[in-house]
Amino acid sequence: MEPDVSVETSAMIRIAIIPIGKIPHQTLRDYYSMFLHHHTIPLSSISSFYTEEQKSPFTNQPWETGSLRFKFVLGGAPPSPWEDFQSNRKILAVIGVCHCPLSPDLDSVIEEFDGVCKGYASARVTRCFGFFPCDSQLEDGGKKGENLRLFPPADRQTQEMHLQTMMQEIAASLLMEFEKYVFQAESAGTILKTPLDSQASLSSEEVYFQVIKAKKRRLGRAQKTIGDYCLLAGSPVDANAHYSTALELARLTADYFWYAGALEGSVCALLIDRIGLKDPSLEDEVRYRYSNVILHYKKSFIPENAQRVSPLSFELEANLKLARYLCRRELAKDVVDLLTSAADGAKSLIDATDRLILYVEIARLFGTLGYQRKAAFFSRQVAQLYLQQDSKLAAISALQVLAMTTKAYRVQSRASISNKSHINEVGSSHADSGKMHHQSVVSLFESQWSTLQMVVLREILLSAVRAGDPLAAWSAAARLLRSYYPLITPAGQNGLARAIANSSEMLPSGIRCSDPALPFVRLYSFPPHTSQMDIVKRNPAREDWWVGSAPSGPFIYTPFSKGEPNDSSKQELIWIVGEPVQILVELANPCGFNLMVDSIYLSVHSGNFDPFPISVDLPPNSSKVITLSGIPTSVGLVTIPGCTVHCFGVITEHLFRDVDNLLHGAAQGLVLSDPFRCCGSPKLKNVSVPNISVVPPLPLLVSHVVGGDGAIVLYEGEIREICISLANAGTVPVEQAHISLSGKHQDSVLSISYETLKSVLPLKPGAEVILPVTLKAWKLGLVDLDNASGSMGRQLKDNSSPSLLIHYAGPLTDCEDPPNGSAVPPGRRLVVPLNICVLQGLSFVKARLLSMEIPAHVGENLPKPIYLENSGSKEAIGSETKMDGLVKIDPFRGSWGLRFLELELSNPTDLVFEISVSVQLDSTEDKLSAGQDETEYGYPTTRIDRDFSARVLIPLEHFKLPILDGSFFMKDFKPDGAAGSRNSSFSEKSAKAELKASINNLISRIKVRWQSGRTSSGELNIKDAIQAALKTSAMDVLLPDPLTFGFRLVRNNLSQESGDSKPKGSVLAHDMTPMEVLVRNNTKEMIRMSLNITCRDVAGENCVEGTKATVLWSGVLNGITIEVPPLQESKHSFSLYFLVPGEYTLIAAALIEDANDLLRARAKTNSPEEPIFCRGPPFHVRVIGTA
Amino acid sequence: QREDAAQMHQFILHAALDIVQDLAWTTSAMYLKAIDRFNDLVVSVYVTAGHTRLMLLHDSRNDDGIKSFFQEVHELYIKILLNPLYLPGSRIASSHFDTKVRALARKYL
Repeated sequence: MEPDVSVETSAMIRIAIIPIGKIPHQTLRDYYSMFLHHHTIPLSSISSFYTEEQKSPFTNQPWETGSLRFKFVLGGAPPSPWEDFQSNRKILAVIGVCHCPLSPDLDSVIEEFDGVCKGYASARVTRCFGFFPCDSQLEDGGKKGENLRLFPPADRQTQEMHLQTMMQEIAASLLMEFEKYVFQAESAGTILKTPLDSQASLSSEEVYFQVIKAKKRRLGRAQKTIGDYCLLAGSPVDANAHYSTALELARLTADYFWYAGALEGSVCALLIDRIGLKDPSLEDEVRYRYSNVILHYKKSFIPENAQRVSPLSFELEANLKLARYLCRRELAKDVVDLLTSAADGAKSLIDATDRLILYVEIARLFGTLGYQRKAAFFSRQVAQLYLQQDSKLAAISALQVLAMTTKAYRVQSRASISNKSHINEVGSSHADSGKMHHQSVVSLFESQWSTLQMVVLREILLSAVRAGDPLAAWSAAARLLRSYYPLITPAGQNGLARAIANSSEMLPSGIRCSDPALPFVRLYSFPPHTSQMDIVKRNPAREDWWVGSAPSGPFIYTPFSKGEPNDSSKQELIWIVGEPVQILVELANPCGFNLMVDSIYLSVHSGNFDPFPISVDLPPNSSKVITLSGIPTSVGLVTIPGCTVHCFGVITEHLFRDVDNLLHGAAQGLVLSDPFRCCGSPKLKNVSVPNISVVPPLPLLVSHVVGGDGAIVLYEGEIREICISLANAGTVPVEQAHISLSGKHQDSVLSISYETLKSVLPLKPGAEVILPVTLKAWKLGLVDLDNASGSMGRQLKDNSSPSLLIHYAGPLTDCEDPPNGSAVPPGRRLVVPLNICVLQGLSFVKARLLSMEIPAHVGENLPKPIYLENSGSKEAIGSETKMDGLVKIDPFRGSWGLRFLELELSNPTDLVFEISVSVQLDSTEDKLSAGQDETEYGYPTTRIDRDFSARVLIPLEHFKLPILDGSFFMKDFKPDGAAGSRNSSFSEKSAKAELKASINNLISRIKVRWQSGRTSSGELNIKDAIQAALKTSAMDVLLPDPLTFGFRLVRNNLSQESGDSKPKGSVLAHDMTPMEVLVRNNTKEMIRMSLNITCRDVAGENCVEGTKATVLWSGVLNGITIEVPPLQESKHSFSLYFLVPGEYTLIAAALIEDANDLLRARAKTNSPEEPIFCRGPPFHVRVIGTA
Repeated sequence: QREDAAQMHQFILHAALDIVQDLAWTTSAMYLKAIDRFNDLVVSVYVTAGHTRLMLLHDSRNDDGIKSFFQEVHELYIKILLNPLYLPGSRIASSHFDTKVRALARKYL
């Protein structure tokens, strides 16, 4: 069988083109391609070379329209045994091609050519063409044999023209040779035999009529051959005439084989005659005649010959010829039938090469018909036949044939997909990634004939290995592994991995392959800028340019941002030239071998990004999220379609989109397996690739806390100053900066030194500034306390710490890029989290109000209040005065009446705390401490060891108001007139508010500070506790009694002289002791009262009155009526005579007459009848002497 | 060897799709009869209204049986399609479908 047969093949003159001498491969190709242009020579063009020696046998030659057709047999071919049967199979001319520069000796060229021509007995014309001869050769060549034709060196166009002329000359010579042959054949009658005849003729020769038949048969065959030559000479009408005769004779002699041959020739003559015509009747004619041809070839089949030789190949060729003639979409059914029956013949073909050719032709015809799958099927058959040959060349052919089938089986290498469609695909999938319609997903994975695909890939791998094409082998194994790993056993996967490794060893290092192997790479996330280097759009119109650039508040949607064009599906990302960026990708190795990725880095085609490669080791069936980083190098857009991976010795590009599609398919159940899921990686939402733009360099502030970036550990209430160092790590100066606070516990930042920052602007690159910040630890809530009991780490995690937000920006105008001036370079935001870890400090247990009275001794003078002069120097107060400092005499009560606020504190920490309490006095409120603008009373520190509790007493003094003013009560206790109107209720409220304010004022003056170690100090925040403790008795603490009483000894001169030995302030028994009682009115109104004085002994018995009175007296003790003017004192003198030495107590009491509302309110009585009784504190009198 | 044959069957079926694609539009019948052959293997095809192609590779000639087989498989397939969870075009994973089809094959082929 012959390849590429068609109906017209019968009219083609075969010319062998044979290289003579040395010719470089490429040059030879060039020469061949020049010949191929001249496959048709019009008869009209050859008339100048044609000389009619006799009258031409081609009487009906169409000199105007006809032409000679050449079929060039490049490199020559051995003679066919069927030459006699079909003259077109003969090599009728030989052309030698010689590249003169490499073959200097023309004689040897001619010699070699002559030798070659001897092999082609059927050749009627021989020429040797010498290209690019030198001058000497040109000269020489003129004298050499007629067969040598030298082409002077010239450009290609000129040479082609020369060649055309030469070919026309050859055509003319051939035509004349054909004429000669025909004359000869008509007269002499040559014996024409085919391999079919040899035996059949032997057995039937004896019979007489068989001899006649054989003569007729010979005649018929000669006619057929003449017809063939007519056809070759381009004269179809003559050919037809001879074929008709031949047909007649063949039919008579039952020479079916030759009958079919003649019929075939007649069809060819018909087509050549009506060349360019395509009418249905012609088509029907051709189809009819060819079915006849096929039928007669079938008839000529002789069973006993079948082993050796068979006309089957002619039958199949006829099938193919007809199929090629009909090969159009409309006639697909007929063509398919023809090709199917041709394919059926394949198994009867003896020669494997014939089968190969048959399958090739069938595949080609199916391909022409548009039946890609059919074509692929037969191509694969061809490849299998090639692979059976077990030679390298055959394997290369198999590889090439299989490469053509990959499209139909959808396993094509990405390299074979044309670039244009590739780009389109990128664009379209970029636009609607994520919301792919499921129908399109189905179409994406349609015709997943995984078995076929695997078989084809395996065959490609096999043939590539045999053909010694390591890259193809690598690519096939990579595709096989990547697409079909779930269907391959671990052992098979290992084998593939070995195949990949083996082929990569043969590849030069750094070679690229368009088909990715493992691992699967998908986008994991684009981490936004860290809070340390966040980018903020700058609004140049505003002073606070950062406002509105970031969503403020907890809401994702704000109606205010509606006007801005925001494409919600597209995230915008800004990268900065020169600042490294990171992208997280996830790698998966679903196969059963350890995968070593030599390097992986982001693949960026825009050319303004420097990726940093890293290497990864992936254990079997594992996935890993890795960080890929890089540096943008210039301003512009960056697109990241995938990663470049260097694995198995080859560099491949892994596109994210492919894996996305795969995962999408897996989600729909269309693909075998999700490589990430089978590695145990959780399902990931589709990550959309944001639009990334690179902007010019911006300043970059880097912060750290001086003295370590660890958590700042503070005890509750602790106050500390820390320093934050800000350094400009960018290449652009910081020109604007602003600090604000965010997060919880913002009030814990007491002060930030804004001025320090302002003063150093602009901050040059590399410059540093240290910013002092004062912190005060907050109080732990209940939840925090629970956390604190756990680990410290947990506490750090919850974002309870405040952060400093520093908005800063570089210069407004960008000098480098004036056309881009409209876009202001963005600013940045630095978030400095103040990592405050608050530890539980002293814990407050409870507060109590204690009251206590230390009775005063009746002395010569009224006790004087002691004022502490300077509170700050606690050490200055000696131990003697300490008591005095602690217990102060109430000037109004005359006794040492004390009220203490007792705070119970416990120390659960492992540190020692020292507590100091101080009270601030406001001079404007306290007249008695006039002269000192603001006094602070300090008390000795209290030390609380760890795990101990302590009670700290805070004396509540200096709080008494000097005057019992009605303002506190008047409204409160106004006799509830019927007109309890709103007015009164309003004033009531305001009065209460006033009272509250004064209580608050009182409380705020108490400060409980603590110190622990050298560095930690702070303040307890126990206002609420104090308030709660004081709530009930605030009045008592604040308000003075309406009356204060005091006793005093009135000494006469006599006793003073003799009183040397007596202890001071004591009274002698059996002595008349003059005394005074002082009554002070603390109100603003005159008070009339009846005063009583009683004296009690140690047992509490009244010793002035009664039967066993031990004290005598002079003066009035009972019912003394005194009127005390407002804010004045009154004295009443009396004398006592003590009979028995010992301790006595003097108590003054007064019954206020005509008490007003104010007093009544103070006494907390309501009924106007009830007497207001006012009692003074007890005064002690020590009486000494002998009984 | 057997594996090769099994793969060959799939290749033949796959190649026959080209013929089906043209032939399906030329007739209103769903059963396209034997449309292709390779060596002694014959491909019979049944195309549903939704252009789902049921293809049978066989060597015997039992036209009526094949037709009945296809019709019954079609009914089974419609039942699969009625499942809202089944995405048309994706692999049929139902084992019930598989056993039913096998039973039909025993009955008709």
